[in-house]
Amino acid sequence: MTHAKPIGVLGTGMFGTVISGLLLKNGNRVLMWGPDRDVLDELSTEGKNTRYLPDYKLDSRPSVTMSLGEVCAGCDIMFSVLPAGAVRGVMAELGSFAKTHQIMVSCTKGLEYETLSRMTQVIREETPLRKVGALSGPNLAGEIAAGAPTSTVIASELDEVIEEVHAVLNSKYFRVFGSHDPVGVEFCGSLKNIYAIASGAASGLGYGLNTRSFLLTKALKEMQFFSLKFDAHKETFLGIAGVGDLIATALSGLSRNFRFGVLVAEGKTGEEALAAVGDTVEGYHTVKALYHFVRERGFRMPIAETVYNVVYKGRDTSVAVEKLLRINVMYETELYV
Amino acid sequence: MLHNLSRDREAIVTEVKSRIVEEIREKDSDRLLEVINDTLYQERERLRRHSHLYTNPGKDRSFYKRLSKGLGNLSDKQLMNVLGDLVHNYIDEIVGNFNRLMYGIATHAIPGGLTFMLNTMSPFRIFKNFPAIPSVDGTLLVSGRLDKLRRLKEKGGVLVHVPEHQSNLDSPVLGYSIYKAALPPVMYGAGYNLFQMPLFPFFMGKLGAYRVDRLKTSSLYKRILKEYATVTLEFGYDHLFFPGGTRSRSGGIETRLKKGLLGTALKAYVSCRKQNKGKRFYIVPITVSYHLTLEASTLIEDYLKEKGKSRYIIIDDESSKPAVILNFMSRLISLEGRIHVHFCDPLDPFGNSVDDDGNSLDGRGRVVDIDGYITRDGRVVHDGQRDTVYTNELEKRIVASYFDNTILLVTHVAAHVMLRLLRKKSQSGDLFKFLREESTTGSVPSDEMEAGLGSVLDQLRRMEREGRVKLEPALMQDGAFDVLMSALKYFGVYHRDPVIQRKGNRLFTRDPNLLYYYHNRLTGYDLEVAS
Repeated sequence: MTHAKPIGVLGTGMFGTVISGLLLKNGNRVLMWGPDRDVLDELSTEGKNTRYLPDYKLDSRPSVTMSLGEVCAGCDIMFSVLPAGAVRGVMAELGSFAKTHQIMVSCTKGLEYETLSRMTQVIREETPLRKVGALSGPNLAGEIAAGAPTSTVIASELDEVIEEVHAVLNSKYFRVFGSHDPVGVEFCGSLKNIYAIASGAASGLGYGLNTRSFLLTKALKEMQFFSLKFDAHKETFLGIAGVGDLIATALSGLSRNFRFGVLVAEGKTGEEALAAVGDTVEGYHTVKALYHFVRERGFRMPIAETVYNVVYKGRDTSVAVEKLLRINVMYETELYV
Repeated sequence: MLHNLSRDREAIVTEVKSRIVEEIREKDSDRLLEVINDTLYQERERLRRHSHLYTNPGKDRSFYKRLSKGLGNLSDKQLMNVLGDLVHNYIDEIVGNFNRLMYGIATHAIPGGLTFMLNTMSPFRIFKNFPAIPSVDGTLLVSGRLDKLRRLKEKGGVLVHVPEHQSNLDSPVLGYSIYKAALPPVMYGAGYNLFQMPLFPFFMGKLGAYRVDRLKTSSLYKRILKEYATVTLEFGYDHLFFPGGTRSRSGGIETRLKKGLLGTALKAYVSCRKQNKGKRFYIVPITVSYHLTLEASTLIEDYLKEKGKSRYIIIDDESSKPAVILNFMSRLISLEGRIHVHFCDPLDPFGNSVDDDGNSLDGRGRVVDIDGYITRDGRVVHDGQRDTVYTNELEKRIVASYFDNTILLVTHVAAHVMLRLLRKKSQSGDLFKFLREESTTGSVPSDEMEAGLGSVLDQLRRMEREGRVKLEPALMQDGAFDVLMSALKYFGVYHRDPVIQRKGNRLFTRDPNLLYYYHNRLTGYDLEVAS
């Protein structure tokens, strides 16, 4: 179903481009916002984003703007596809233009580094918007661009947000499912990046699938342990945005976080690995914020702490991973701490 | 405004009835018989279990018996008529009235009488004891942005007062506080049992009360109650209800509110906007603080026995004994104790703050158009799921407001520190074991208590500067020793056993449950107690 007004997409990175592509494919008009005039020009004239997705071409041309006021004036539904570190600044500016009937969907899989706030929380704090949601799932941009059948979750407390997003985004190849658990969905989308680094590191050290699935199963438990403290729904972790996204991100060479982990296992420091990936590695930032957060509150998340120790404190990766695999727990239901 | 209630009564009743019947016709027409049967079953059960609490249960019995006859053979149209009778009967019972003269007499001439008139006592006893009843006038300290509330009223706003609930004294205290604050009288739901007492219906009805029978549990009755509140709000009547539903059993600040009545302001707002009416509704959280709580012993006992649900309506506590109330008030006043009532900053039905002109503000202080929140495809629409979400957010803002605006008193702080210190010394991590066995044998050296109090006072004063709590003057100015002495005086005058007692250089408790009760007032503030 198409929407009467253009749909705003904030961000012109890989995922912003494929989200625009999906919306356009469904017959919607799209108005893209970004800070880079050259990227915007290429998108509006050629329907391409050579910098991030050189082989991908949009079905039709989006409109583009560098004015957030223009996006707010013209769109009732907006997708925020920005790096976590940029969201507050953009939303603070957008807040002056936003109207209360508008819908804002966060597609950012990251937490605010300083506060560990979820992105929908940041949007709520900086704007008058109440109709907010979070889109998350196993959504590797490259595969979506290639037309692979994909599923995602739109999570919002409001049915209206779920229904509207489903209407404009759902298609034969991009299945959109609703959830009333934005807390769980956002934490899953953010925390799994940390565990993708761990999985990449294990892979880089030569561990096979037995070991990595061992690690990831415990990682899922650790994600759940943390998120339930914030009233996430338990069932989210066995869904598309939970285990689904974890599998895709933590086992795929297409994932930046996974590649980052491989590079660290090969002996690069965190900063060197970051430079080598050359793009946002959300897990690198998220784990730092998470580490301090859990330390202050006195609870343990051993896998995340191990990732922190390796990428920020320069601990030996193989020693750290081996230590992690030896943690002594008798029953599977016990927390891996 | 409330004096128009007699004029609007018929229109309100008609509107409520028509909405309820229409709603059931739209949503439950295929299960109409089930709705009626369920209601009749609940009513029969109520009468079977609680008929002794009603003055004329036979009348009710024959009414429901008549409606039950041959239900299974009735056509849809006939079933709608039965439903109409049920609804009408309920509304007729609920609806109250207001008499300006009666309100004037109650507030101007007999503030002490108002105190008890709104309480759970028999009016005969009120008048019998009247000469000895102390006036609450000097004891009651009313604070908050009252000018702002009055301004919102002048601009046509409708106020929904949502106080926390500590004691049965709250009702009269709040009734008189609203009068003292020069705010208009309010509608409020009063327990049905009060209307059973001689003369009470006369007074209660004339003071804006409507009847709420908490023993009526059918969903139809609850729907009607909510709709009655909604419609009267739309007519512009201010309301007061306790969103906690019942008195705080633990003594702590309420953190979970009942959303049914809380959501009526939003429903009323949506209805008004659908009719292009510009009426605005403001939710006013109110905190009430007492140095001592009249029914503390019963409440905490109830809490600890985890009988909160089964004894939901306590009818035999201290507030039902006039002599106890009299004793309590006299002793409170003799110590120059104060009852603090604080009207917090008003919120809109979505939980937004509002400015002095009643405009809603977002988190960054910008004026926002709240109609957008209830608009879909350009039209204002009713949406129960959406409104539940907004009401949950309103609940969070009210609870936060309770915490920020609760006025902490010396008794709360001293009890909190004392219990925390005793627990530190305790061998048992189990609270109940501690209260049952160890607390009365333990003691705290005075200097340790003063050190603990000092550390907590420092934290509280810092929080007070940050707007995260309010403190009575003694807690702002006095040192730990004076605060302790002040608390000991209060604890020594009313409760049968002293909550905290000093013997030599050590402090003991003779009633650990009450110590726990008063301690709980500070639960949730995450204070560190140095020892």
